[in-house]
Amino acid sequence: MSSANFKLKVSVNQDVCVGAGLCVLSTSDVFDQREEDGVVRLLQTEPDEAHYEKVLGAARKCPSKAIRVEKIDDTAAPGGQP
Amino acid sequence: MSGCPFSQSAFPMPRQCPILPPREYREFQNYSGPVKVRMWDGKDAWLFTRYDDVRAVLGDNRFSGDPHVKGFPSLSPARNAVLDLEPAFIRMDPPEHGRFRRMLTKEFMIKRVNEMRPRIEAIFSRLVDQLLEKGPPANLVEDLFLPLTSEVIAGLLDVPAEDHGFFQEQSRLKVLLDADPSVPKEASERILGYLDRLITEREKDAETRSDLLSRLIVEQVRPGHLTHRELVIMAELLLMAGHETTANQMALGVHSFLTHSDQLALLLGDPSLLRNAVEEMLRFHTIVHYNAFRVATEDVEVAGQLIRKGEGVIALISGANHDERAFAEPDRFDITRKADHHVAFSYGVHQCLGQPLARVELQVVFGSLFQRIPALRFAVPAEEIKGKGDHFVQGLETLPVTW
Repeated sequence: MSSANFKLKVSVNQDVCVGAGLCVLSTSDVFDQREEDGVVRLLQTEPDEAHYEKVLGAARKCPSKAIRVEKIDDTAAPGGQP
Repeated sequence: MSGCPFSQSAFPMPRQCPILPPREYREFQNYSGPVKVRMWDGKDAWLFTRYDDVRAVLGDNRFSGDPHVKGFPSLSPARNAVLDLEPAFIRMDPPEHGRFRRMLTKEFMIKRVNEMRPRIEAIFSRLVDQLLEKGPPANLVEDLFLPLTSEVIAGLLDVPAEDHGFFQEQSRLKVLLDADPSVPKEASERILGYLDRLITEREKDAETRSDLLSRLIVEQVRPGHLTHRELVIMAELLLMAGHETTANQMALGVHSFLTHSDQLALLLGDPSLLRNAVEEMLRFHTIVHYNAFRVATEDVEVAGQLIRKGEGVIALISGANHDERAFAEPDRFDITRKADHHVAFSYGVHQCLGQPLARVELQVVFGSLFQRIPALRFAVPAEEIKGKGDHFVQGLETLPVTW
């Protein structure tokens, strides 16, 4: 996957997370777990392309559907987002 | 259901050989939607065996995992006796379920479990040393895998080593399906009695200790979030789930490698296949093979079938993991396949909490067992090795080996 004309935007729902940790196993560059309760903690909202496959895999595997991945047009990316 | 080409089957059906799931699942998977099966008590349940359908059911909280909800399917009288006991959180629905589960999730975080890896490696290495010193033959279930998994979970809870034999035996009795209902019930009562005494003692000096039970006493029991009795029930779940299942998976994994020498050669030739090999054995064996029973709490449509409120549902993870729509040639043990989307730990909010620990234990065992004992082989003809026929958790009764 190179020079894609879209970006992936990741968000997580900490209320429904059950702490199974599959996202961290998929990629610990994007997902982490809160020290106090093991609930998902997002490290980056717009990971680079090298992580796309792993991020999508994490979203598919998440047992509580706590991970949301949005495909956004690169040119229409909201201003102010790194 | 309309157009169903099958006469109604009784559930459960016998496994093949005994390693593979029942043949019938494959036939059921040829048709969209569930089939109706008849349980031992004469009641019906909807059986789902396709990967997508099983995930759809288990990911939908309108299906309850509480066995006391009217219509919950019954697997056997002995299983009923277990389900009638005071429920641990795995038998609860959201939001109550999450309140208890979250008290434990940090204990099984990937980071925390990875920190346990050196200790697990050291335990395993010592047990293999002892095995080699004693010499062949050996029964790997009793002589290696149960001691390993027991020591790991007991270490986490700080349960004295001299009591491991006791809870191994009670755990074994608790998962029997065809026994008199008093057998699993009394086994569970003995474990609960034991843990009640242990936790009562622990409550006296929990502040000075660093085990998981002491942390729960300090952080949850003392401030009133968890009662003493609720902690006893939780501890039983951790102790049981923590060793019986993982030891069974290890035995079956060894069986798979010894009956598939090409796969063993691949693993030995390329250690980077280890993680994949572990996922594949989890998928291939799906040891908690009768999971997961549910009951609809309202009318729900799944795969074109309307499930009415109060109807029992079985979303069979052992079917899903052998669905060719999700895994090509599913009955082939292939450590090079991408298998990590399997549902061996179930799916949905009840997915196994201890799965990171199970994975690390399996990686430790299969990362070194065949290197430590290169001549490892069955001590009896392969066809004499029998699966556990009537257990809630699939495994091998014994694994006689020599070297």
